[in-house]
Amino acid sequence: MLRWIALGLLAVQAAPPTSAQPPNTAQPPAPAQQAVAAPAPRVFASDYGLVLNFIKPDKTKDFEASIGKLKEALQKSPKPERKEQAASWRVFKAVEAATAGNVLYVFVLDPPVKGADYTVSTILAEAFPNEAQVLYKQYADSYGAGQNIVNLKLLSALGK
Amino acid sequence: MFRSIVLGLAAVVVSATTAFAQAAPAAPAQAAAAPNPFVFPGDAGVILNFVKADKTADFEMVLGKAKEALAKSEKPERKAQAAGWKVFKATEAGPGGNVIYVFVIDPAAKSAEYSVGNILVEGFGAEGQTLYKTYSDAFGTPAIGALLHLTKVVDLGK
Repeated sequence: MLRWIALGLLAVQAAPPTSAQPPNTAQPPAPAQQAVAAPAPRVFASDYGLVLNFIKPDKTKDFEASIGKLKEALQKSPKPERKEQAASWRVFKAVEAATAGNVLYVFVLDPPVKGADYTVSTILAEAFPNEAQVLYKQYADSYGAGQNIVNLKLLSALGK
Repeated sequence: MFRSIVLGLAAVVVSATTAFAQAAPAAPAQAAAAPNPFVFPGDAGVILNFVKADKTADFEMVLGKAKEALAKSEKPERKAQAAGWKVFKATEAGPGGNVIYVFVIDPAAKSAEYSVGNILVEGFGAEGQTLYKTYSDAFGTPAIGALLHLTKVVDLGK
Protein backbone atom coordinates (compact mmCIF):
# COMPACT_ATOMS: atom_id res chain seq x y z
CA MET A 1 0.00 0.00 0.00
CA LEU A 2 1.19 3.44 -0.86
CA ARG A 3 1.58 5.70 2.08
CA TRP A 4 2.53 9.31 2.39
CA ILE A 5 4.44 9.83 5.56
CA ALA A 6 6.90 12.28 6.91
CA LEU A 7 10.21 10.55 6.88
CA GLY A 8 13.09 11.77 8.99
CA LEU A 9 16.14 11.66 6.80
CA LEU A 10 19.42 12.01 8.57
CA ALA A 11 22.03 13.44 6.35
CA VAL A 12 25.35 15.02 6.80
CA GLN A 13 25.98 18.36 5.33
CA ALA A 14 29.20 18.73 3.45
CA ALA A 15 29.61 22.27 4.59
CA PRO A 16 28.79 24.35 7.64
CA PRO A 17 25.16 25.43 7.91
CA THR A 18 25.93 28.95 6.81
CA SER A 19 26.90 27.72 3.40
CA ALA A 20 24.84 24.56 3.26
CA GLN A 21 21.69 26.61 3.49
CA PRO A 22 21.01 29.98 2.04
CA PRO A 23 21.91 32.60 4.62
CA ASN A 24 19.09 34.56 6.15
CA THR A 25 20.53 37.92 5.36
CA ALA A 26 20.39 39.36 1.91
CA GLN A 27 22.35 42.47 2.76
CA PRO A 28 25.68 42.62 1.00
CA PRO A 29 28.46 42.47 3.54
CA ALA A 30 30.91 45.31 3.77
CA PRO A 31 34.28 44.51 2.19
CA ALA A 32 35.90 43.83 5.52
CA GLN A 33 33.10 41.44 6.41
CA GLN A 34 33.17 39.60 3.14
CA ALA A 35 36.33 37.76 3.97
CA VAL A 36 34.84 36.65 7.26
CA ALA A 37 31.36 35.91 6.02
CA ALA A 38 32.30 34.20 2.76
CA PRO A 39 30.74 30.75 2.74
CA ALA A 40 33.02 27.78 2.93
CA PRO A 41 33.42 26.17 -0.46
CA ARG A 42 30.95 23.38 -1.09
CA VAL A 43 33.09 20.66 -2.53
CA PHE A 44 32.07 17.11 -3.39
CA ALA A 45 34.78 14.51 -3.02
CA SER A 46 32.53 11.64 -4.01
CA ASP A 47 31.56 9.82 -7.21
CA TYR A 48 28.14 11.36 -7.27
CA GLY A 49 26.36 14.13 -5.46
CA LEU A 50 22.75 14.72 -4.59
CA VAL A 51 21.36 17.92 -3.13
CA LEU A 52 17.74 17.90 -2.01
CA ASN A 53 16.27 21.41 -2.04
CA PHE A 54 13.01 22.08 -0.20
CA ILE A 55 11.30 25.04 -1.88
CA LYS A 56 8.23 26.98 -0.82
CA PRO A 57 5.32 26.12 -3.13
CA ASP A 58 4.67 29.77 -3.95
CA LYS A 59 8.34 30.38 -4.76
CA THR A 60 9.01 27.71 -7.34
CA LYS A 61 9.07 30.25 -10.16
CA ASP A 62 11.65 32.31 -8.28
CA PHE A 63 13.73 29.23 -7.63
CA GLU A 64 13.57 28.13 -11.25
CA ALA A 65 14.47 31.65 -12.36
CA SER A 66 17.50 31.47 -10.08
CA ILE A 67 18.46 28.17 -11.62
CA GLY A 68 18.20 29.81 -15.02
CA LYS A 69 20.64 32.49 -13.90
CA LEU A 70 22.89 29.82 -12.45
CA LYS A 71 22.98 28.10 -15.81
CA GLU A 72 23.79 31.39 -17.50
CA ALA A 73 26.51 32.09 -14.96
CA LEU A 74 28.14 28.72 -15.51
CA GLN A 75 28.02 29.09 -19.27
CA LYS A 76 29.51 32.56 -19.40
CA SER A 77 32.25 31.87 -16.89
CA PRO A 78 35.78 31.97 -18.26
CA LYS A 79 36.79 29.33 -15.71
CA PRO A 80 37.12 25.86 -17.25
CA GLU A 81 35.86 24.17 -14.10
CA ARG A 82 32.57 26.03 -14.35
CA LYS A 83 31.99 24.52 -17.79
CA GLU A 84 32.81 21.11 -16.36
CA GLN A 85 30.40 21.63 -13.51
CA ALA A 86 27.62 22.61 -15.88
CA ALA A 87 28.19 19.54 -18.01
CA SER A 88 27.30 17.15 -15.21
CA TRP A 89 24.83 19.20 -13.16
CA ARG A 90 21.15 18.57 -13.72
CA VAL A 91 18.12 19.78 -11.85
CA PHE A 92 15.04 17.65 -11.30
CA LYS A 93 11.69 18.28 -9.67
CA ALA A 94 10.02 15.56 -7.64
CA VAL A 95 6.46 14.58 -8.34
CA GLU A 96 6.03 13.96 -4.61
CA ALA A 97 5.40 16.83 -2.25
CA ALA A 98 7.83 17.32 0.60
CA THR A 99 6.93 18.13 4.17
CA ALA A 100 4.90 21.24 4.86
CA GLY A 101 3.88 21.39 1.25
CA ASN A 102 7.35 22.27 0.07
CA VAL A 103 8.39 21.29 -3.42
CA LEU A 104 11.44 19.10 -3.72
CA TYR A 105 14.06 19.94 -6.32
CA VAL A 106 17.02 17.64 -6.68
CA PHE A 107 20.46 18.65 -7.94
CA VAL A 108 22.19 15.69 -9.51
CA LEU A 109 25.94 15.97 -9.92
CA ASP A 110 27.09 13.06 -12.04
CA PRO A 111 29.94 13.21 -11.51
CA PRO A 112 30.89 16.18 -9.35
CA VAL A 113 33.96 18.03 -10.53
CA LYS A 114 36.71 17.31 -8.05
CA GLY A 115 37.72 20.37 -6.08
CA ALA A 116 35.14 22.65 -7.69
CA ASP A 117 33.03 24.89 -5.49
CA TYR A 118 29.29 24.33 -5.91
CA THR A 119 28.16 27.22 -3.72
CA VAL A 120 25.39 28.78 -5.78
CA SER A 121 25.84 32.24 -4.27
CA THR A 122 29.50 32.24 -5.23
CA ILE A 123 28.74 31.24 -8.81
CA LEU A 124 26.05 33.91 -9.16
CA ALA A 125 28.28 36.59 -7.66
CA GLU A 126 31.12 35.67 -9.99
CA ALA A 127 28.99 36.17 -13.07
CA PHE A 128 26.65 38.91 -11.97
CA PRO A 129 28.49 41.01 -9.40
CA ASN A 130 26.12 43.95 -9.76
CA GLU A 131 23.00 41.84 -9.37
CA ALA A 132 24.38 39.41 -6.84
CA GLN A 133 22.41 40.75 -3.91
CA VAL A 134 19.07 40.67 -5.69
CA LEU A 135 19.68 37.28 -7.27
CA TYR A 136 20.78 35.74 -4.06
CA LYS A 137 17.84 37.14 -2.13
CA GLN A 138 15.48 35.64 -4.67
CA TYR A 139 17.27 32.31 -4.43
CA ALA A 140 17.53 32.25 -0.63
CA ASP A 141 13.97 33.38 -0.04
CA SER A 142 12.60 30.53 -2.09
CA TYR A 143 13.78 27.93 0.43
CA GLY A 144 11.19 26.50 2.77
CA ALA A 145 13.34 24.05 4.68
CA GLY A 146 16.91 24.24 3.50
CA GLN A 147 18.88 21.50 1.85
CA ASN A 148 20.11 17.96 2.36
CA ILE A 149 23.45 17.15 0.80
CA VAL A 150 24.42 13.55 0.19
CA ASN A 151 27.84 12.42 -1.02
CA LEU A 152 27.65 9.07 -2.76
CA LYS A 153 30.14 6.39 -3.70
CA LEU A 154 29.30 4.13 -6.60
CA LEU A 155 28.67 0.59 -5.46
CA SER A 156 27.38 -0.94 -8.65
CA ALA A 157 26.20 0.01 -12.10
CA LEU A 158 23.64 -2.70 -12.72
CA GLY A 159 24.13 -2.60 -16.46
CA LYS A 160 27.91 -3.14 -16.41
CA MET B 1 33.42 20.47 9.46
CA PHE B 2 30.82 17.80 9.15
CA ARG B 3 27.63 18.07 11.09
CA SER B 4 24.64 15.84 11.31
CA ILE B 5 21.22 17.31 10.86
CA VAL B 6 17.77 15.93 10.65
CA LEU B 7 15.43 17.26 8.00
CA GLY B 8 11.93 16.20 7.18
CA LEU B 9 11.44 14.60 3.83
CA ALA B 10 8.00 13.61 2.70
CA ALA B 11 8.03 11.06 0.00
CA VAL B 12 6.19 8.10 -1.31
CA VAL B 13 7.50 5.35 0.86
CA VAL B 14 6.92 1.69 0.59
CA SER B 15 8.15 -0.98 2.95
CA ALA B 16 10.33 -3.59 1.36
CA THR B 17 7.86 -6.32 2.24
CA THR B 18 4.84 -4.34 1.22
CA ALA B 19 6.44 -3.34 -2.02
CA PHE B 20 6.86 -6.93 -3.01
CA ALA B 21 3.36 -7.88 -1.99
CA GLN B 22 2.05 -4.89 -3.83
CA ALA B 23 3.93 -5.83 -6.92
CA ALA B 24 1.79 -8.93 -7.33
CA PRO B 25 -0.68 -8.63 -10.18
CA ALA B 26 -3.53 -6.42 -9.11
CA ALA B 27 -7.17 -6.90 -9.88
CA PRO B 28 -8.34 -4.49 -12.58
CA ALA B 29 -10.16 -2.28 -10.09
CA GLN B 30 -7.04 -2.04 -7.93
CA ALA B 31 -4.83 -1.33 -10.88
CA ALA B 32 -6.94 1.67 -11.72
CA ALA B 33 -6.86 2.91 -8.16
CA ALA B 34 -3.19 3.64 -7.73
CA PRO B 35 -0.17 3.71 -9.98
CA ASN B 36 2.63 1.30 -9.20
CA PRO B 37 5.20 3.29 -7.23
CA PHE B 38 7.99 1.23 -8.76
CA VAL B 39 7.24 2.57 -12.20
CA PHE B 40 8.91 5.88 -13.04
CA PRO B 41 6.93 7.59 -15.77
CA GLY B 42 9.06 10.74 -15.59
CA ASP B 43 12.67 11.27 -16.57
CA ALA B 44 14.35 9.70 -13.58
CA GLY B 45 13.92 8.25 -10.13
CA VAL B 46 15.70 7.99 -6.84
CA ILE B 47 15.10 5.44 -4.10
CA LEU B 48 16.65 5.97 -0.68
CA ASN B 49 17.19 2.74 1.26
CA PHE B 50 18.04 2.66 4.97
CA VAL B 51 19.96 -0.51 5.75
CA LYS B 52 21.03 -1.92 9.10
CA ALA B 53 24.74 -1.41 9.65
CA ASP B 54 25.29 -5.12 10.28
CA LYS B 55 23.32 -6.18 7.24
CA THR B 56 25.11 -4.29 4.49
CA ALA B 57 26.84 -7.42 3.24
CA ASP B 58 23.45 -9.15 2.87
CA PHE B 59 21.98 -6.14 1.13
CA GLU B 60 24.89 -5.86 -1.29
CA MET B 61 24.85 -9.60 -1.97
CA VAL B 62 21.20 -9.46 -2.96
CA LEU B 63 21.81 -6.46 -5.17
CA GLY B 64 24.49 -8.49 -6.89
CA LYS B 65 21.87 -11.15 -7.55
CA ALA B 66 19.46 -8.52 -8.86
CA LYS B 67 22.15 -7.37 -11.25
CA GLU B 68 22.60 -10.96 -12.36
CA ALA B 69 18.87 -11.36 -12.86
CA LEU B 70 18.70 -8.25 -15.00
CA ALA B 71 21.68 -9.35 -17.05
CA LYS B 72 20.28 -12.78 -17.78
CA SER B 73 16.74 -11.64 -18.46
CA GLU B 74 15.51 -11.99 -22.00
CA LYS B 75 13.14 -9.08 -21.60
CA PRO B 76 14.39 -5.97 -23.41
CA GLU B 77 12.99 -3.71 -20.69
CA ARG B 78 15.17 -5.41 -18.09
CA LYS B 79 18.26 -4.56 -20.14
CA ALA B 80 17.04 -0.99 -20.44
CA GLN B 81 16.50 -0.83 -16.70
CA ALA B 82 19.96 -2.14 -15.96
CA ALA B 83 21.56 0.41 -18.25
CA GLY B 84 20.22 3.35 -16.31
CA TRP B 85 20.28 1.95 -12.78
CA LYS B 86 23.16 2.67 -10.45
CA VAL B 87 23.54 1.89 -6.78
CA PHE B 88 25.40 4.26 -4.51
CA LYS B 89 26.34 4.16 -0.87
CA ALA B 90 26.23 7.41 1.06
CA THR B 91 29.37 8.60 2.76
CA GLU B 92 27.17 10.00 5.49
CA ALA B 93 25.63 7.81 8.17
CA GLY B 94 21.86 7.51 8.20
CA PRO B 95 19.40 7.72 11.06
CA GLY B 96 20.00 5.27 13.90
CA GLY B 97 23.35 4.31 12.44
CA ASN B 98 21.73 2.88 9.33
CA VAL B 99 23.63 2.96 6.08
CA ILE B 100 21.98 4.85 3.23
CA TYR B 101 22.02 3.21 -0.17
CA VAL B 102 20.67 5.23 -3.05
CA PHE B 103 19.30 3.79 -6.24
CA VAL B 104 19.65 6.31 -9.02
CA ILE B 105 17.54 5.50 -12.05
CA ASP B 106 18.55 7.85 -14.82
CA PRO B 107 17.11 7.64 -17.32
CA ALA B 108 14.09 5.64 -16.22
CA ALA B 109 12.96 2.90 -18.58
CA LYS B 110 9.41 3.96 -19.37
CA SER B 111 6.76 1.58 -18.06
CA ALA B 112 9.35 -0.76 -16.55
CA GLU B 113 8.77 -1.90 -13.00
CA TYR B 114 11.70 -1.54 -10.59
CA SER B 115 10.60 -3.79 -7.73
CA VAL B 116 13.68 -5.73 -6.62
CA GLY B 117 11.42 -8.54 -5.38
CA ASN B 118 9.86 -9.09 -8.76
CA ILE B 119 13.22 -8.98 -10.49
CA LEU B 120 14.63 -11.60 -8.12
CA VAL B 121 11.68 -13.96 -8.48
CA GLU B 122 11.70 -13.51 -12.23
CA GLY B 123 15.38 -14.37 -12.34
CA PHE B 124 15.63 -17.08 -9.71
CA GLY B 125 12.17 -18.46 -9.02
CA ALA B 126 11.81 -19.84 -5.49
CA GLU B 127 15.36 -18.85 -4.62
CA GLY B 128 14.33 -15.32 -5.45
CA GLN B 129 11.80 -15.44 -2.62
CA THR B 130 14.55 -16.39 -0.17
CA LEU B 131 16.81 -13.69 -1.53
CA TYR B 132 14.04 -11.19 -1.16
CA LYS B 133 13.57 -12.12 2.48
CA THR B 134 17.28 -11.49 3.05
CA TYR B 135 16.90 -8.15 1.27
CA SER B 136 13.83 -7.17 3.31
CA ASP B 137 15.47 -8.18 6.58
CA ALA B 138 18.40 -5.89 5.84
CA PHE B 139 16.24 -2.80 6.07
CA GLY B 140 16.58 -0.85 9.28
CA THR B 141 14.31 1.81 10.68
CA PRO B 142 12.50 3.18 8.85
CA ALA B 143 11.97 -0.16 7.12
CA ILE B 144 11.05 1.64 3.99
CA GLY B 145 12.43 2.90 0.80
CA ALA B 146 11.69 6.49 -0.08
CA LEU B 147 10.85 6.85 -3.74
CA LEU B 148 11.21 10.08 -5.64
CA HIS B 149 9.73 10.31 -9.11
CA LEU B 150 11.67 13.00 -10.92
CA THR B 151 11.04 15.23 -13.89
CA LYS B 152 13.98 17.08 -15.40
CA VAL B 153 13.81 20.84 -15.03
CA VAL B 154 17.08 21.84 -16.62
CA ASP B 155 20.38 20.43 -17.70
CA LEU B 156 22.82 23.17 -16.78
CA GLY B 157 25.29 22.16 -19.46
CA LYS B 158 22.89 22.28 -22.40
